[in-house]
Amino acid sequence: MTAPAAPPLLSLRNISRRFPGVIANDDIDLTVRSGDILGLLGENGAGKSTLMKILAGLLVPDDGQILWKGKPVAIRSPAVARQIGIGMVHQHFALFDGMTVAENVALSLPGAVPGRALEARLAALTDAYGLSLDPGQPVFTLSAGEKQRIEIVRALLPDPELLILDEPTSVLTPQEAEQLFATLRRLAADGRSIVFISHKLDEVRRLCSTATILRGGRVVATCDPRTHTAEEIAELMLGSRPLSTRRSERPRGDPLLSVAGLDAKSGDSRVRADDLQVHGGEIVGIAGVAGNAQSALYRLLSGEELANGAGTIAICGRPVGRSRPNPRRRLGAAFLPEERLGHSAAPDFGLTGNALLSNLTTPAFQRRGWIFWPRLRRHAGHIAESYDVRHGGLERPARSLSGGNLQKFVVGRELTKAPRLLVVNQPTWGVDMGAAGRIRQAIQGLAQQQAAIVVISQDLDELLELCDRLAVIHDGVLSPARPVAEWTIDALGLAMAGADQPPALKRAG
Amino acid sequence: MIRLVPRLHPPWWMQAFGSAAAVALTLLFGAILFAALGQPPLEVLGVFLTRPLSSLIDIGDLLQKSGPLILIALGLSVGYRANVWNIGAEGQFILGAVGAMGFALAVGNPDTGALLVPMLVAGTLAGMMWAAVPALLRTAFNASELLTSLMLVYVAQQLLYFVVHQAWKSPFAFGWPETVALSEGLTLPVLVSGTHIHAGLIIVLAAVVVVAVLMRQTTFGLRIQLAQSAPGAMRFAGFHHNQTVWLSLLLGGAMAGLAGAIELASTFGKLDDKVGLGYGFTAIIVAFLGRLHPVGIVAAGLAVGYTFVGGDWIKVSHGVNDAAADVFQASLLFFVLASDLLTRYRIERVVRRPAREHPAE
Repeated sequence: MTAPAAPPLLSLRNISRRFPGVIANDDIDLTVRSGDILGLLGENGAGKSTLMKILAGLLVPDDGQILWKGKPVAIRSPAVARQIGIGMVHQHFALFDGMTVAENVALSLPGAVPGRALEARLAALTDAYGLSLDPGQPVFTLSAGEKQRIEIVRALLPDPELLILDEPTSVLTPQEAEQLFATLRRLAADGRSIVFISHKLDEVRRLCSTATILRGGRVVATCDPRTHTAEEIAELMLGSRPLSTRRSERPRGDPLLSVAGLDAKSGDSRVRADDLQVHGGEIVGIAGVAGNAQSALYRLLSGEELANGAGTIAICGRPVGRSRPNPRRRLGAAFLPEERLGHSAAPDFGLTGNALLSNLTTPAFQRRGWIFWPRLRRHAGHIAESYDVRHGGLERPARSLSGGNLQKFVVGRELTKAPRLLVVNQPTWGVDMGAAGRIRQAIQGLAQQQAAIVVISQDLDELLELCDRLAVIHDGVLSPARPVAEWTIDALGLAMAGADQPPALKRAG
Repeated sequence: MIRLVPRLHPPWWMQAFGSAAAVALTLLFGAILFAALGQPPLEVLGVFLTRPLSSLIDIGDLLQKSGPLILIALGLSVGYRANVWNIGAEGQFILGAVGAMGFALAVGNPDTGALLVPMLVAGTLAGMMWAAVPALLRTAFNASELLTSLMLVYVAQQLLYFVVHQAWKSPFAFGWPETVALSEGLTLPVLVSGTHIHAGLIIVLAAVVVVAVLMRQTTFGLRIQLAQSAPGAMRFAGFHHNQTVWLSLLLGGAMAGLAGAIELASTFGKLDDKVGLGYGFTAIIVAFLGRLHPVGIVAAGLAVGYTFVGGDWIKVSHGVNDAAADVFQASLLFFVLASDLLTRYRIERVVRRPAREHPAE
């Protein structure tokens, strides 16, 4: 169909999109030809989602040009994207569980489609691309893979020429992923183009003819992934950052956190950690790509979820695996989860109320259930002052504060307790540069005072700056922690992608 | 098609106007209703509106009816804030009365005030025990407390029938299903002679203060507020939801049980097969009308009590039948809730777009 001289289906030229404090997409060029399967690779925060939203009509670029079959287009809304022939399959499903497959598909269509015509089109699509689906089955009975097939069918019904899939394999079993790949290959053989967004190297190497790699909002390379090793691509994704060996020499104290034989479920995730020891004066980082059970690990360490045995987690030598958060806090531990609004802070409470959340074990603020509000108010004011929290009044609801200011407040709340152990998940997530620097400094200051610190983060730069040792979590399995100097960036990238697990930790089955 | 869109900041005048409109619409509705029944509408409305405040006796009746509503609604409101749906206060109220009577009979119904407080405590504990069942079923088996607490109302009624028809039936009752009367000493003292204003009123007022303080000043209140607005932060603070379920059900049961015991020791004086009177269900409405806030609940309880007394009066003075009086009372609730809804939400017309139509006909 496509003559060699024909322009590519889609080209992006010099696309930029800025958000306050960050350039999410910086001068991006990208080309998709008919029948191509393009892999879009990058770490979290590399700019993949922003780029995808621009193509889907959810965001408008600040600069640059989008050419569709050689002609400039402005994708002002999702409707425009659909109209010109771009289909999206989102990472999160938007399906009505109580309705059948056919009803869910019908809902996505503009205008009334006669039932029979719809069924015929459904059957044609599912046959052609191996998307086996029973139209009459209610959605709640389906597996994640089947639900995703509904989303793919929905996206295919308007007959798009370009199909974008955002992290499609993150919810699939390996077998379901294999089926998805077969479908995608058939779609490509039909002349449709596919953009496959992922952070899993081996998948992109198996599926894609071209890969565009983003780092820090810029395109760092476009290559044929099959001709490169996983190590080479990992290095492109992560950059050749100097693995700093400059560590402030802190004396290493006793182990204050010990994890051994932890194997517990929390929510939908299973966490396994065989051996982790964090000593006083030491910062241990836990690296990993989003969605690898980091939050589940946090919940187990903090006591919001109980572990598989009291002895699996020890704080200051005491077994606490079956203890809730406050007994752990009494031993000198402090915890800080990833979510601010609704987890580490109550959005409707003022700073005074929020100062109490992790201080219920402090006798100065509460005795036998009676709260000493005046003291708390002074304490909240003191935290706000020493951590430079800008607020419009201590009783104003926490949700009125900016992310950075609220994060400084909750970090300050934990650090003023001078904990012996701090477990923190994503300490600078969604925080502006200034506040992030202030928070990292405060964490290092705490380590200087011989506290043991665990930093769970998806930001490798942050971990490399802060940590003495690094472990990697992939699919809930925690690798042994090794000194930062012993890690190479390749090994780190591979471990994060799940490609390199030491035999002892290899998943059974 | 229409839909409701929340107003972010309803202006104060709209709330005031809403309440006034609700009262005006109720009166209009009542006028039409009574006229249709062949009654002089303005006269009936006049009796309904003025008689509940026309004498000390009537005010006493108003307080007597509002008291248990306020007490029960206070307890329920705490649970509702924490998303614990105890709708079985009627059963806990009955158990409170049965428990108090059981205590009185067990100690021989002596004519001494010394056992009055222990009797009220016994009723409170009985209500708590009844509410502990849904708490246990919820925390151990994840059974919805909404269903189990409601079903236990009917069990409580059967238990009541058993004691008044059989176990504790008075030998002097000529076959009526009732127990012996409580002794004078076990009856709550009347505060204003000639009226129904009794010492239970002091307990109700104390409960209002206690609940208000509990919510503002204690970690229990913090737990409830967190359960309401930020369950994740509740877990972060180290509160466990199962404990919240237990505490709020026990508190709700205790206050409903106490209300039952107070009514037994004042209005009822003995158990018969009609104990309950629907207070436990009406209190659910009172709790929501009062926006789950202690002061609001006092106002809502008084308002609902007012309609009870006014409703009784129009039955007596104009022979308005029970059903019509009930419909009129209910219309007030209807209009108040409607005005409340329309103050907080505005109605938007949704133009039917073919895109949202169901294709498979």
